[in-house]
Amino acid sequence: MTDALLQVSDLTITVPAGEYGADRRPVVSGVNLQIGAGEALGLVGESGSGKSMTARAVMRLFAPGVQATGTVVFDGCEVFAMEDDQLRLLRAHRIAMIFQDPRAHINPVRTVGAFLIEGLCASGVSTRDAERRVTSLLAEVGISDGSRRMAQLPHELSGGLLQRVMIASAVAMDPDLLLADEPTTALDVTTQSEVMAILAQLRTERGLALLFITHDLELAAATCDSTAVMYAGSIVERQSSRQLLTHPYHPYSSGLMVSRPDLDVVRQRLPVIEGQPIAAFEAGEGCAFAPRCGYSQPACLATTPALVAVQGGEVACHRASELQGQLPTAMEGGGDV
Amino acid sequence: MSWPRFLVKRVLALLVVLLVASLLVYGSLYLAPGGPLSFLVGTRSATPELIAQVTAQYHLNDPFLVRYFTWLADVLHGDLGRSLVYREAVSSLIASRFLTTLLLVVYATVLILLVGLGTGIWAALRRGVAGRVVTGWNVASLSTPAFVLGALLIVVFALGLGWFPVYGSGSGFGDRLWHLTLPAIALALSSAAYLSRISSASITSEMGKEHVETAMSRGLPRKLVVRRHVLRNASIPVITVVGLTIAGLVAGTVVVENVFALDGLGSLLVRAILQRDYAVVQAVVLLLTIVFVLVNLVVDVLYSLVDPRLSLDGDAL
Amino acid sequence: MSGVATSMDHSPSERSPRRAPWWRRVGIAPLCAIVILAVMILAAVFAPLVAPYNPNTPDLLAALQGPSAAHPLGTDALGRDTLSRLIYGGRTTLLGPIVVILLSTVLGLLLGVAAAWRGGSIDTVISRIVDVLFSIPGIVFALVTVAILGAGLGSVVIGLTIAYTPYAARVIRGGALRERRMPYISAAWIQGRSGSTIARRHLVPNIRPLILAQAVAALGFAVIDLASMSFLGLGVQPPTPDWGLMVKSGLDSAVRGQPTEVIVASVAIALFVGAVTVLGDRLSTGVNK
Repeated sequence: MTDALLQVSDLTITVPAGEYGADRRPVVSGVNLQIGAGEALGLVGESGSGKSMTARAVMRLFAPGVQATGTVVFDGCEVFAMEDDQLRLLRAHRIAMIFQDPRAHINPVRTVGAFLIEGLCASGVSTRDAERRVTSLLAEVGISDGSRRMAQLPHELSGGLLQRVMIASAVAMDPDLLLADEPTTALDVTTQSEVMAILAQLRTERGLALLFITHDLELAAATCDSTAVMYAGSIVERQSSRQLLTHPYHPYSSGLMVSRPDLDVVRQRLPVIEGQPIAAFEAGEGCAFAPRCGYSQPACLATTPALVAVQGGEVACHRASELQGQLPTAMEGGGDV
Repeated sequence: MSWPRFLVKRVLALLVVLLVASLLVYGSLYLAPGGPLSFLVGTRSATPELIAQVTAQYHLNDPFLVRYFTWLADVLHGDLGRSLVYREAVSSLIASRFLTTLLLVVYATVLILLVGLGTGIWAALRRGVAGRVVTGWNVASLSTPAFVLGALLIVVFALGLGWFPVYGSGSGFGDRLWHLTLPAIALALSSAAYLSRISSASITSEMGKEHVETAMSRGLPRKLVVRRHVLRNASIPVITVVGLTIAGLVAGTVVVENVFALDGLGSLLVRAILQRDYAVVQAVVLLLTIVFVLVNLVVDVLYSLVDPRLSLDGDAL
Repeated sequence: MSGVATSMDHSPSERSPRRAPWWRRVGIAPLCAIVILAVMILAAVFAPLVAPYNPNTPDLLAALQGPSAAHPLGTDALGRDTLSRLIYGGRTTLLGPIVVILLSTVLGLLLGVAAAWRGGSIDTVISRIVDVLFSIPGIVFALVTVAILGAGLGSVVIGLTIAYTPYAARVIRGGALRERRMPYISAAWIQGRSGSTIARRHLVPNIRPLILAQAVAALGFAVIDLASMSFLGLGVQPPTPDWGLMVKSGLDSAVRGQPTEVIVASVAIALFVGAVTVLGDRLSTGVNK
């Protein structure tokens, strides 16, 4: 445990709220996770679950007003306690992040080439060398006419190409950990699988660790070694991906899998989890998911379940030992969860 | 569209505008109640010599288009007519006053850029009280017309404290600058406030954009991110504003020169209007329009240079 | 909190338990602005009831006095009471611009809606004319009009109306184009309503907030331009009290040692325009929400 590359302990993130932003609301509460060198962890959740905030916390990338407590330890160093120049070195050389909408996340008035070499040049590489390195990187991510592309502006490239460019720029500095915030959500399915393939390839070649944020549980489980599920700002389950797909311990994970439409089966009504996902500050006493849970009992509304170890992972559910991971992973017949 | 074609197209558009403007300026004389002759003679005694002189100078016996084109041809040859009041060529009247007006406009422009951009950037990059102070100052500045500000400046700094002269444009470069300081401030302040607002809003908006987050996530120093990604991007909409503002200064000089009794084009124009010296009015108005249109053209060109997303057709992609 | 990407998504069930009181929702500054404007306009309208003296009666023995019990704001070079002249002066200073804005907004509305609704060649023609008019600085129109028609409030009003119409037309055209694409317009069209009926009953009412915001913003500029023209001697003529004229005569009085008139008139103009600006800002942020 202690030699994990990334160790996040008791991470709680609050944002300003109320009139004049005087109050504070939690959006992430008490998150623990770890990633070993070269490992991939998928972090799955719906909107408002706090998954993107968690990823940004790893490199302390906060909007003004956002505060965080807890610890994030990367390769033995406490990220929250770092000086500014240490943090910058961390961001430049050790951890890289790719984002959901590449078109918004790349400066539209500078060339693709300028974007790609910026990180390298800032750490002392000459422009010529940087350009050479970047061109070969572009080839690695499947863009063969690299020098032509580098002279172009972002609006001249498609979304899929831009995402590859973003991936190339992220690995240009040879980081140890890659944070991917829903990198394929804005892309169509074919491009999605291409981008995932590129990520997988780069990972094996460079031994990159990966924190993969997504709302797509199946995608995370298919590409990552282990998968964690977040709800209302906390992790409710974490298991190795293979285990999770066949034996989810938490009703929410089960619900997510069941509600995914199946190509092979005809349904009269799509199965859904009743209600809306909530954010951390909207959770009351007791289990945050209980109001929507098909297995909830009065005890579930009384106290918040802690994350406890089960066979092959952890889960936060009062009834975990009872339900024993016998929850459905797909719908049989029609109806709802 | 390639550069040569773009320039040709823009110059042609400029010429069209100038043509229409000159037609309007020239033709407006004929809208005067009572006809152009009685207008031009005005309150002066209508001696036969005067009538003959006016008729000849303004070609009042020829058909309209002939008159217009004769006038246009004269203008293009540098002959702007004669002033009825000063009895000298309009072109020499203008030439001597042009320098004062030019100096005033340039001085004001420098102030606008320094103060406007300076306070705008400062307010945007520092949060909290600084922003609100600058905003309040801007609202006050925007609400104060140039002539009001000029009057107040005279009362406080010239009459009250005696730091600056009250009237006149001075002689010699340094003395001129000293004389033009209060007028330049009067002319510049509201435009500086406007620029401050726009640049502050543009920078604040840019700071919140996602590509800035990307730059920060790469460990780039904050100063570099601000300089290269925030300021440069935010400057794009600001350039248009700067151009329009400077173009607007051209009109503002008319009032400010009057307040401070400066011997520039503006005061010449006002006096010519009051004295119905129409050749002067036409010439100065035409000149102001030309400068206005030229500045707009330069702004358009700069804008398409700075924002690489725009093709020279002006369509954003 | 600036908008650097967060994945926060507040569910609609979460509401602040207390809604801010109405006066805070409008904003303290706009409220003060409304009060100031109301006081000034009412004082101008009811001038004969409010002003202590006749604004035009000279009294050379009392010339160039500072504030006193008899004359709270002092007297001018001809001994006329400054306070009374200020109250009466509001009439021309504020009335003229209101007429300019009304006329230019109506004209701009007609042109802008026609261009947006009809589109095609009518739009092109109107837009080109507006573009050319834009190329000529606004004050130039006023100056040329005054040059032809002679100095006076009427000439300046006409000139400024011509100058301001292109601005109104352009803003309104933009808004009308956006509205025209809305589905409810197509729905009315399919139902067989005529173009002018749709424009009148459906389109225009929906761009009313935009028109109002534009008009209020332009009002501030109109006051400045008109007062400037009066200052130059090209607008309102003496002895009519007008704030622009008072700045001019006040400046001469100041040179002779009595700055009260010029300061008072200057502050009045700045205060009015400031109030209008603040109000205009608040209205246009309301439009953009």
